[in-house]
Amino acid sequence: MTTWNFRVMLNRAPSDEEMDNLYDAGLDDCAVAGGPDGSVYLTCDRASESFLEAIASVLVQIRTVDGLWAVGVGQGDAVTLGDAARRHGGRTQASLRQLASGQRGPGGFPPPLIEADNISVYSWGEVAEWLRTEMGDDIPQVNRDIALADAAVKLACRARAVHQETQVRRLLEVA
Amino acid sequence: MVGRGRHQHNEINGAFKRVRKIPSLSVVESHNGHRWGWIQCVCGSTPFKVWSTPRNQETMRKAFSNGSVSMSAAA
Repeated sequence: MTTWNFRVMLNRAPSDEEMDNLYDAGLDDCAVAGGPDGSVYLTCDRASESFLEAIASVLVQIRTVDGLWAVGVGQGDAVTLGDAARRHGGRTQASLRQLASGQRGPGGFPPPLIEADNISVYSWGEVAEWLRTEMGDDIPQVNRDIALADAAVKLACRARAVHQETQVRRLLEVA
Repeated sequence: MVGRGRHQHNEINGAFKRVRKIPSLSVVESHNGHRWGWIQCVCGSTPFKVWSTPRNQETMRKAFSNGSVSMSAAA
């Protein structure tokens, strides 16, 4: 059994009573914290057979508290090249742009997830993996399951907002 | 019996010691429900809650050191 460390962003700060309910639900292996931007998240150390299973078990326990739910997992995978340079810490945006365009490096930089109005959004998981394996950059490995879980949580939030949970669940099954 | 301002887990006390050296952070002891207290930052971010009996004190200690608290202090 592996212990997985990750963050789950919440829709709002839990009240004192809700904090106790989270503890009773089994989230005594998570800590509640917040960022200066008003974001609130759980930082979790969950023992489980797989990363996705660990994330799912935390999400189930959060949902036991009425009105509280996850709005994201991990750091957020979607990045511009500027964001990627800041996360990387050792490369500039210009350097990443040259690698992405193939002006430098071996080629094969991960394609953007979204490209619109001269803005390209990439998967940090894919970019980090490419930089580690192709360029030998010394940056922490990113678990791609985080990006999957984050996408699933965000989809669930969007479905809930328009009361289409059942239909979206069906779409996921058949897609 | 654990004295005021001290958590029953030494790993967490060690983290408190580092937090108390940062002027923008303070450790608040409350003993309410499952909560030992919290760490608050002058920046106004959501306080970092500290359980009285965390399943694994390493979780709290790591959270202190991986930026969950200090990130707020740096803002």
